[in-house]
Amino acid sequence: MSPARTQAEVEGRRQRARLWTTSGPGLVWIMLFLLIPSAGLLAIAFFSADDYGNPVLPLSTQPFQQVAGFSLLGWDAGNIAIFLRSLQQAGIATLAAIVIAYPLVFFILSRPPAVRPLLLLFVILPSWTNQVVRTYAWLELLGPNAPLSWLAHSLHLLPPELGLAPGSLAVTSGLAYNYLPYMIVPLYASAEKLDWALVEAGRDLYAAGIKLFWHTVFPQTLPGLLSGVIFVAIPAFGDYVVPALLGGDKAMMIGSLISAQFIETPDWPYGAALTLIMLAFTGLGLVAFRIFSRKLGGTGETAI
Amino acid sequence: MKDRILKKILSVTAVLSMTMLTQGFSAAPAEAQSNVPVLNLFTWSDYIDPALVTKFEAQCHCKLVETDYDSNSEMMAKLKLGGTSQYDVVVPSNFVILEMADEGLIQPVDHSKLSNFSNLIERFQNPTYDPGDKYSIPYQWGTTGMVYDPAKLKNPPQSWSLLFDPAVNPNYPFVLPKGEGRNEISAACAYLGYGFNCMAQDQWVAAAKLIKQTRKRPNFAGFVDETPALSQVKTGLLATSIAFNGDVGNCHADGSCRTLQYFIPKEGGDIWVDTMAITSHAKQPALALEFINFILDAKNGAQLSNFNQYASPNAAATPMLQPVLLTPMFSPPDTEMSRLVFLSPLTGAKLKLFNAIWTSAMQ
Repeated sequence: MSPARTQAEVEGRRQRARLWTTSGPGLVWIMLFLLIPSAGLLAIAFFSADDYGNPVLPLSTQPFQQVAGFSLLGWDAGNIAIFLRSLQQAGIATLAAIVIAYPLVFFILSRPPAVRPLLLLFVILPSWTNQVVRTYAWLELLGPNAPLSWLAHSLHLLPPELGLAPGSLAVTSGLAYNYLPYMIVPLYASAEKLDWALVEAGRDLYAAGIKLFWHTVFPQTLPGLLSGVIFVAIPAFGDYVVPALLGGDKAMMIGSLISAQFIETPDWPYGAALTLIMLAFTGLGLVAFRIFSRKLGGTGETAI
Repeated sequence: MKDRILKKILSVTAVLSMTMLTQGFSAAPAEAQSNVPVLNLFTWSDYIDPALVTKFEAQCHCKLVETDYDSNSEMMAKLKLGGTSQYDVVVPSNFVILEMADEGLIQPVDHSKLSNFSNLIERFQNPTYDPGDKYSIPYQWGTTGMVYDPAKLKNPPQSWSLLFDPAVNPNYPFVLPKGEGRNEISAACAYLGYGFNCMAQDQWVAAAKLIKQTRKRPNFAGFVDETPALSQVKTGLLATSIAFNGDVGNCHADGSCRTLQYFIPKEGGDIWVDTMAITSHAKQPALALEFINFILDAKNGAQLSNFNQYASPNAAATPMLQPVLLTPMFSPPDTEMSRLVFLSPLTGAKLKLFNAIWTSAMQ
């Protein structure tokens, strides 16, 4: 050991060693089971497809042209519609989750501290059940022989022969329901640390209602909200189960489009290219949110 | 039905995660525990009598391991991911056999080892979908037609117009199967007057266009495969759908759908055959042939059909079939037979074109 080594250097080295031993196994796990297989799949996106949809040489940009809507039949707007529909469904579901989560979080916070963990547990508990099972429960709730559909019939919102499911409203509800816990938990974490003195100060300055919320509560819960938006919007965008069951895939979303390229109408390079584009948009969304949250004066406390 | 969709979704997830995970290695097949050889059978859910499995195991001094799938496309996706050496016998439908052979997923069958081959009904000894039964031996057969609830749809025409003509069914919810698209495009072709087994590009495009229009109707309830769709007709979620004769016959027999009506549309419909084929890299090709010959046996063939409630391709088994399997629902009379066709196999560029057209219809 060199005598010139200072105490700080030794300490720094120790810290690095500690960092690697604690995060190393996780990193190896992610490398082995997420990054390497994903890279393998994404590499397929740059191959040509043979007649049976298998990836073959030469390398080709064909899969990306297919993503853009070109096929043997010429150009079609179908993919753009699917993409926009997925964005729209994810967006509306996220908004719905926000609107439900805020009052719920503050209701839980208004209960005695001993009860709060229990109430929070009730929020999380359903997500321990398989998503397919929970989605089926919604199919029963929204089917033609269920009270909610009867209500829609009697209000003349729906022809008497049909049910609320399958349909796009059912898909939105299913997505909002499925990912609601992922909005509530980070929002709760933010709201728990809320400085109520600021709310009081706002009241003293005669702010009330939405104005009071907007200037005192909203900025303080913004980090949690932004994490929640990411946790809800991203999986909702690519969801496969909810559109298939509650929408009957009558309005296709991107998850179903990708799965079809590996099963029903095999074309692996096209499926891989779709996956790559979806991941790219997810990545862009994350970066945009980070910039956005910094601009809003966020403390960088978002979970990502 | 829930079980089936659940299984389907889980298996889709499994296939997708397999594509992510198994770029180099495939799942380990069921290996022999001791010296007993193992025959791996990959087949449709609930498609073999467990008693027949036991009987075969006693005869061959081997172990039969059964794995299930719910669609031809799912089965083929798994064979491509290493399944050709993992499984020995698969049960593909008639219209994918040449495609699978062309892709190297299955191997020709050695007829010299099949002493019971002559038990087959003549029509199934040299079918158009696989001349000379080179790659496939018929297992069960049936028809694809339409089912409807007469409480909702009163005396509809016996025609594909029940699906495609908004005037025939303006209000009640109906679905189309998701699948590989052959039945859907063919039904639309038949309705448009091109015949059920249409093969020309412009006919397919016209059929896809009709399906796209149909999807926009407010009472179109989505893409649901035949068997789960029938369950939804039974529970009242749907009024009509494409269906398999055996499924309807089954629920007539067990009393769960007595009032539902099944018909083969006047424009023509599908006669399908599920067959036994041997994978290209089967570990037990001799046992596989022994199994196929076992099923071709008259008594075993009858037991299989009596369990599955589908028609038997085995002429020698006919006297031992339950009477219900000889009714028109299962064994269509000649007038109906004349309207039924085998879907022609699609291979190579033609299949690629078909897939592109079907994809455009679904988007």
